[in-house]
Amino acid sequence: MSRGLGLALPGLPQLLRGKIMEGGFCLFLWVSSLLVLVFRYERIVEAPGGSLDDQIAMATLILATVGVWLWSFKEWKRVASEPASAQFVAIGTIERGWAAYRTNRLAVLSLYVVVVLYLAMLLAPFLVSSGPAGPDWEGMSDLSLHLLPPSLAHPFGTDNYQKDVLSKILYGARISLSLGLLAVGISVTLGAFLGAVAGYWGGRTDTVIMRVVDMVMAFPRLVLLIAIVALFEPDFFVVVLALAITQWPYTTRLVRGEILSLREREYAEAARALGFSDWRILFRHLLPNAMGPLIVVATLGVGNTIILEAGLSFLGLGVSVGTPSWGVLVDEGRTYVLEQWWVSTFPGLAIVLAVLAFNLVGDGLRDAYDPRQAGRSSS
Amino acid sequence: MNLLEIRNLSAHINTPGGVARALDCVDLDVDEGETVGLVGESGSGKTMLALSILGLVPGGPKALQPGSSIRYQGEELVGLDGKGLRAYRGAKIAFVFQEPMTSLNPVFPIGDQVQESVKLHRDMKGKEARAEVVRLLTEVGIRDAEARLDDYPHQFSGGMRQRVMIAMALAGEPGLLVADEPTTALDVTVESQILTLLRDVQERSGMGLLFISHDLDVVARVCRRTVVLYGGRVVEAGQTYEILTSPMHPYTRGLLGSRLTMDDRRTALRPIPGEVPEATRWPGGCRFHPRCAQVHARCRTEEPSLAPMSAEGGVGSASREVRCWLYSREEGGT
Repeated sequence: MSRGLGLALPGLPQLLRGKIMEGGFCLFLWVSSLLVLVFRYERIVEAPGGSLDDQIAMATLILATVGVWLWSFKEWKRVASEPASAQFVAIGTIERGWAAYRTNRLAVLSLYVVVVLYLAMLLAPFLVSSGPAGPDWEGMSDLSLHLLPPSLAHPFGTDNYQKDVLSKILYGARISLSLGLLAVGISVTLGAFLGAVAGYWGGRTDTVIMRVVDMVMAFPRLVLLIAIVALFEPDFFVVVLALAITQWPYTTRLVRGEILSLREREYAEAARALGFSDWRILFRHLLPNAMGPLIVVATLGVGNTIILEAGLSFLGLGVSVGTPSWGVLVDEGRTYVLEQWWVSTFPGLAIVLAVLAFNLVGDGLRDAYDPRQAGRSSS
Repeated sequence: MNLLEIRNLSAHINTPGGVARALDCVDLDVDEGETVGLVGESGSGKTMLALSILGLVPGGPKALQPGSSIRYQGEELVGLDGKGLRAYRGAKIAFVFQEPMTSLNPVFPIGDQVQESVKLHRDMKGKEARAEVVRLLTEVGIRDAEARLDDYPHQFSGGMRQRVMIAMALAGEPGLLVADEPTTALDVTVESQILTLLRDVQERSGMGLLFISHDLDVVARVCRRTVVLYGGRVVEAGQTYEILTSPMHPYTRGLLGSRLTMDDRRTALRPIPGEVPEATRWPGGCRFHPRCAQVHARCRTEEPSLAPMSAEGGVGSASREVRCWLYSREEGGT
């Protein structure tokens, strides 16, 4: 009987097998999706003909719902076919790393938090309040909404623009979270490429690249950031690029070191003897072996980048065009922080939550990929 | 014309301790379908010789000194650039290395790794390449090869990994296989299987095999001809059975004396005293003289040449060559 229920209610199969966290997460996603569907039915129905944001949000909702159900279904099928015995799975490095990661409850929880944050970001149009306090409200503002303390209608209160703080945080997430991901994406790609090239060929190439790295790293990062942003109109991409430009040298150093040791491995030698080209050996054979540490720095970098952007915004140098990011929200509430604490505090907590989640995921990944570190951090 | 003709090969490598003369005027031939053993202690230059054939020495092709010549099927390899050499690597000359535990990339399934080699050297794609991978793996004795394609290197034993390495080397259908201590890291029963496998594939494909080992017994099981290397120089060469039954150079005798055999049980092992000097400072005269039991005045000052031993001395066939004053006819030797 419970098996039949398992199909109807995602998360139940996992819960029945004692996977509390996985099941709870599944259930949470499922219930939240349903709630969104029920409460925002009208908006969702109009979404296909609506703005791009709405369409993306709807696609996310569908994908999330189907994904959760499939995840649960897989578990359910496994219960059905193999009741007791643990399955033997052929595992590679990625799978082994994941298996080690799963044993770290805090890291798994953080991963769930990250997933929820990004889902909330994509689903934002369906989640924000639709009244005069909502960010999409086109009409006159309602002065009775001025700086209201947290209540049921406005869980995080309203700000000095008579807007719902929670809604602004959800929209701000689009800037802060995507900016973090983008900046890290660019810097890791660029940094890994240059580091790999420098480490593999050495000699003059190495010298040139590493001296540039030294030069960039010789500046305090914040000062360099401020200088770059101040030179241009601080719109989204300028800030992203500025963050990426000040970030890549760290990745370059790391990857260079990894490649330096990897290129002396026997399998690199064997690949050379088999006639593979240097580029192929470097990017197809060696770089995948450096993936573990690379993923770790990337994840830790996202948290770091979100903080830096918030710092820049707080100084008035962040993304100043369009939707305010979390840092801007904190800055906006600065004047009221003693009386109307909620205006600054909740965006600040959002930053803390996101950065903490990313850092814990990064720590978990590092432990998973480097077992020598795991013992140290837990003791 | 020999398949592989090495003439006058000298390789000098810059190290922090000075210039290491890793190889000095080495001559070596491998004929088609022939198996040649290369024997010597660690540091004698065996691996260096193998690597220099395809410009894989540390320091690159520049390490080879002027006058060196390596010909494969009559084509000169010395002086080729990276791209030119790559056309030979794997496709015409393939390598099997010593460490099967680390010679496979740990993050890819073995099927992918063999397939990459197949795709690079043969004009095959998709299913055809996959079928070829299965064929190769079966040929090197991996049972149920199709089911194991997606397994990772760490799921294989050392012997099995060495079989995979051999499959990768065979993927390009090379004319010459260079095996650098392929069984040193394996235990004796597996060693035996791998040796049999190497001999089998060599006989089947008719390729030349240059077999490098520090173990004369292993070489004796695989190779018709043996070359003994010491201090980056060939000290003795000849038919394997001749070298084993009547070693001439004191170093070869020392190598044979260092073995443990059943009928030696009562006599103690007779290791060669001392160790191989560093390649940055070879001793003057004969390079072996500081460790040689039969050393005399001339050995310290003059280096003997690699002289052919004719049958008249009663010690071997025409192909026998020894570098030692003990056998020098021209100037009286001892």
